[in-house]
Amino acid sequence: MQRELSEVFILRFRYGSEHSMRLRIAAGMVFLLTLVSARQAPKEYQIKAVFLYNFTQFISWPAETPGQDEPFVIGVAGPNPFGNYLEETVKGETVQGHPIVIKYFAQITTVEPCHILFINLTDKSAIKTLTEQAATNHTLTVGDVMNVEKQGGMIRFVTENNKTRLRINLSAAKSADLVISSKLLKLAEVIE
Amino acid sequence: MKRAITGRILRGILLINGIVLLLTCGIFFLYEYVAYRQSRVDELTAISRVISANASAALAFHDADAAREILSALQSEPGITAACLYDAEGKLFATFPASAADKKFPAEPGLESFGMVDDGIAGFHPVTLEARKLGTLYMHGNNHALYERMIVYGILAFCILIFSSLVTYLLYKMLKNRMLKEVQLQTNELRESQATILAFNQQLEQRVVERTEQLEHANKELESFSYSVSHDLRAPLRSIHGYLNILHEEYSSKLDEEGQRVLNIVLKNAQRMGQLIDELLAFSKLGRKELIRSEIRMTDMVNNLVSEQKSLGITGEFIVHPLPAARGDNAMIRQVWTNLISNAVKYSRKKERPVIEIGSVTEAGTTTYFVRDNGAGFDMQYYDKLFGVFQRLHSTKEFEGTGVGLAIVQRVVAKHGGKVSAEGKINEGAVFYFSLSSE
Repeated sequence: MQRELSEVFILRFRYGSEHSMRLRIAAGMVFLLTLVSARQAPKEYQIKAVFLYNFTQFISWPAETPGQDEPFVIGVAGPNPFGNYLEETVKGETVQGHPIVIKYFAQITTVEPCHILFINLTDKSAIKTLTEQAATNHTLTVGDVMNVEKQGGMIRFVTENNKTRLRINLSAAKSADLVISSKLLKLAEVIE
Repeated sequence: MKRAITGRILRGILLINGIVLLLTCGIFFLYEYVAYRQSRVDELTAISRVISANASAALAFHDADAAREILSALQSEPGITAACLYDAEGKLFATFPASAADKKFPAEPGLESFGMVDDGIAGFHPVTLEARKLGTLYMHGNNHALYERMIVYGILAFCILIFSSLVTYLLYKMLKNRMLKEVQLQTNELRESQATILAFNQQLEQRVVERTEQLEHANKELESFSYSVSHDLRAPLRSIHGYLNILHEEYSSKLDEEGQRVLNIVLKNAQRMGQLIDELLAFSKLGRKELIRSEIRMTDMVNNLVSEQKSLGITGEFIVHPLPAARGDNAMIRQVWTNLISNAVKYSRKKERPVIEIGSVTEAGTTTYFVRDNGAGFDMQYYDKLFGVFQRLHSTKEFEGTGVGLAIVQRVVAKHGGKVSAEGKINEGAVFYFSLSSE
């Protein structure tokens, strides 16, 4: 629905008559602003989107992951809380030369192997299933729901005093052959 | 005097020493300052690199506490007074010291390099992650290390100055004594050789005095000898002369013609001998006589003598030029003129028109008088004998005389410290010159 709206805007913009262009641009801007505000996710998720990308800089995946000519995949399991922040964040960025691709999996059954998987589910068994898959697929599992780290999630965003903090399940990360930088560990609360 | 010179030398040496040291230290300080600045920039850059690398995660995950903790590591760097991190938007993120007021830091990041500022060294360094800029690090360091180093160098320089001055002073003292000894040694040598020369000179003078005394003594002996000889010869000669006169007056009638002729010859020779003895006596008396110097008006004297000659019936022409006055013994100089003029008259007598010229030439302050005649002249070959006693270049038959006249001239002129000389040519005349010393 949102995607369609933006396409409509682009079409209108492209085929609009040349005269009174400025007016049209102004009108378009207003339209765009209302559009953005209409579908804006909470500011908190803007930060979390950046953090998700930042993990790529402080965590080492095993060699040949991702494979040659394959993209680096960031997936979101469950409803998408980020709006389009994730796309904005990774726009033009790469992970060691691999382009970054964002994938959304509404159903747990459709989840494909990813390099980073944000789990936005509350069902414990579903989380468990995903974290178990993650260990074999070398997937970094991240979430912000309660006890996600206890279900085998590797990193949990914890909000304290309006600030987003990290809690890291180091053994889970180790079982997926992921090496977390000491710099990152220093910032986080580490549980085994 | 000696002390003043050595003191000045010492002060000069110490001054040069000080200037050289100061210059050296100045250049050293300057170099040290430049090197220090460079090394400080390098140092801060290196620290910045470490801090930036460590702070990347804190900036990436918006963890200001962790950033502050990382910055707090700067506590171990006493040269760092302040530091802070800006996030990607340029907003102040974390500071060091943690309690420092935000005002202490630049409002936003500036040029990413380090340089000298008023109170030390400061600059910015980017915090990047895989070419993505996460933020900026600001650091400010003080110059305490520089000041401390400069103080240490200052103290060192001062110590070196004192030490080198001391060493210079001691070396100078050592060398001074050696130099003074050398100088003294050479001075002594010079003095010794001077003394030797002086002694030698004295010896020479002594010898000259001795010789002169000997000569004078010999001269006096000779003079007294010739005086006494001539004096003592006179008495018997007078007696011979007297008895010869008696014989001539009272007994010549008893002698035949030949006897009378021989008697006349004896008488004539006795007379001549008396004349010779008289002149010899006069000559030897000259040596014993003391000079009595006075102003002599030569022109008057010569004119008197010329008119005396004329009154004797001399018919020659006399040309008398004006003559400068001179100092000398009046009677003796008169004798000189008399002898020279009568000589000239005598030897030009046989000429048809005898001309006698008397004049003077002044050259280089010395006046030379001359008497010129156009008479018989003489051969320059025999010049040596001209002024000798009883030396004659003409026979008595040609020109009468005893040969003492010119000898007397020479003696008198020599006594006056002057010189005599003559030029002549046979039958063309002669010139006699004499000068008196300017004294």
